Amino acid sequence: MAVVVRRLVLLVLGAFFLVPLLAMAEFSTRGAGGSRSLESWTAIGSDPDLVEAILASVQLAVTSSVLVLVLLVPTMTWIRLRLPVLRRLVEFLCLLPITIPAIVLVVGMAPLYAWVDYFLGDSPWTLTFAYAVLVLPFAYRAIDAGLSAIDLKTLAEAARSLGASWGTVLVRVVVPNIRTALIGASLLSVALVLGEFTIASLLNFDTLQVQVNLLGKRNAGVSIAVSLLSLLFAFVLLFLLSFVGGRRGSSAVEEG
Amino acid sequence: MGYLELRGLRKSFGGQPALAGLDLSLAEGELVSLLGPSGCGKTTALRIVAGFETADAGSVSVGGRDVTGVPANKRDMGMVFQAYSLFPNMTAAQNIAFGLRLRRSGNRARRTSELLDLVGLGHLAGRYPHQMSGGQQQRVALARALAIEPRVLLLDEPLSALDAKVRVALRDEIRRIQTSLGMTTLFVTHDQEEALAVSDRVGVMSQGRLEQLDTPAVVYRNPASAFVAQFVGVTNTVHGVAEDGGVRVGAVRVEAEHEVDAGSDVKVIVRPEDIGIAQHSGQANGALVGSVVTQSFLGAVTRVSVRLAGDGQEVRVDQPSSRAGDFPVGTAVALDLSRVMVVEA
Repeated sequence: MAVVVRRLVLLVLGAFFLVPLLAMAEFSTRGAGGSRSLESWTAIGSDPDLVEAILASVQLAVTSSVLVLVLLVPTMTWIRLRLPVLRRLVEFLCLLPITIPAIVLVVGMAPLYAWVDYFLGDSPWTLTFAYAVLVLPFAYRAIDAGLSAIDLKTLAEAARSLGASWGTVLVRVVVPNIRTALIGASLLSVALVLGEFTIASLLNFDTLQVQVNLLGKRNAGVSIAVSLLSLLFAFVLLFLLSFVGGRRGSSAVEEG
Repeated sequence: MGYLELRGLRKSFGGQPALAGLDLSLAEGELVSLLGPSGCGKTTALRIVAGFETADAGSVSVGGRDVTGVPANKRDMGMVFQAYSLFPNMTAAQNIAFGLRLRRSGNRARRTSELLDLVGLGHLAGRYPHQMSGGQQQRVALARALAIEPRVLLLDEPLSALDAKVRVALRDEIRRIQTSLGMTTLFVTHDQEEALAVSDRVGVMSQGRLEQLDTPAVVYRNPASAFVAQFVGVTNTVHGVAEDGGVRVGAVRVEAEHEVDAGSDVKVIVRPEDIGIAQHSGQANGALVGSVVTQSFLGAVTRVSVRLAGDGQEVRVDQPSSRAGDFPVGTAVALDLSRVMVVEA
């Protein structure tokens, strides 16, 4: 009985996820007069604006997750070790962006970005700053869980007494032991950045989602193809990252 | 002038004093235990020596060099922690080699395997911490601390998370290794048996101060204060009234040297093994008499509880188990107290 229920749930959920994807695949491969054609898909590579937007988004996904990790890991480690009184405050600050709608963020950021434009130019990678703020709550939660799972104080003190500088403690002791949490945090960041539309659009940057939206108005087929592509890319990424995390974890056991 | 020298250490946390002027001096190669109840300041003292806490006042010096302001990673102190502290992402061998790698010392592989052999775990070099037992992890932690050839070894209750058998075995092994290397060692523990068993000298601490610092035998046989007597080993405390050259317990006079004014209330502290016991019948005749209430078998000795006639205080007497059969529950007995300590109540 339980097996039947489980299969039924799997079936319904699977259909819920797969039907829209299949519909997208079907729509994006429609050719003239009811035939099948890959025209929409081949058009992706031949649209220079689109290719540029895809590259910009991928680059942003990388820079944003790197920036947020570089900011958060040392800060959160230091606060746990040395300034525990500030922990609540920093948690509050880091979680704050989740409560602020993107549209409100943009209104606040627009004047700021006038200055960013002026000093750093208007290349899309300047969105890294805005996106780092956007992914802060998710990265914070993931890293916080990772740090809670290890005896940070004892490990840091052990490393210190063996002669490690604070930098070494961070790189050689903290980071390897919260690796899974870091992978989780960067995965969330990448997924969020690849799917972000509001901020990029309103600040007039050409990212993937902005291009998808534009394309949708003149060539729905290509727009759907790109959307499907980015979804598949996110799945592959997720699969790869969890595979990397899982594989290293199990090899640790085998070597013994 | 000792090798490790703590002078006038003071430290308080949020207004609560943890150390109230601690002076301690360790000779080179000596193992000194700091023993005391939780909150007595022993761990704080150790953490100040390690450089993890900063003292409010006082100084720490090693081999004549003042290290008070030196950061923890430049102190050359090996430390073994109470909690399991091995790096989870490294094997036993990698853990031991960690300090050596930071020092870029050569012959790391040879030195690591020497240390693994020293703690008897040569066959577990490739194991990760989660694949080892608690005792094995603490052995690796000890090897890791010794790998950097520290000037002082600091042990922060390294055995308290282990079960009884492993604890005794590892304690003896720590002592063997410490003696063979001539490593100056400061050992913090709340377990008096542990402290007495392995130390050259034991420092009993209370409320941020050293109550007594001496060899285990002296601390046990000649405690400097009632606190030390009661914390180290098992004691009986009997209430009485001071007299010249003795104490009156109930209707009985017990001979004892003391410096308490005659007539004041006192506590008589005596160890269970310092009480003689004999069967008794008839009148008390000035002897301390009572009847056996319970017996508890502790292996080699049996602890006999005697309720004193008159005021009903209970006294525990240790007897070799082979003799305890002479005093079944209900037997009338006479007690003979020796080596008593008299303090004001």
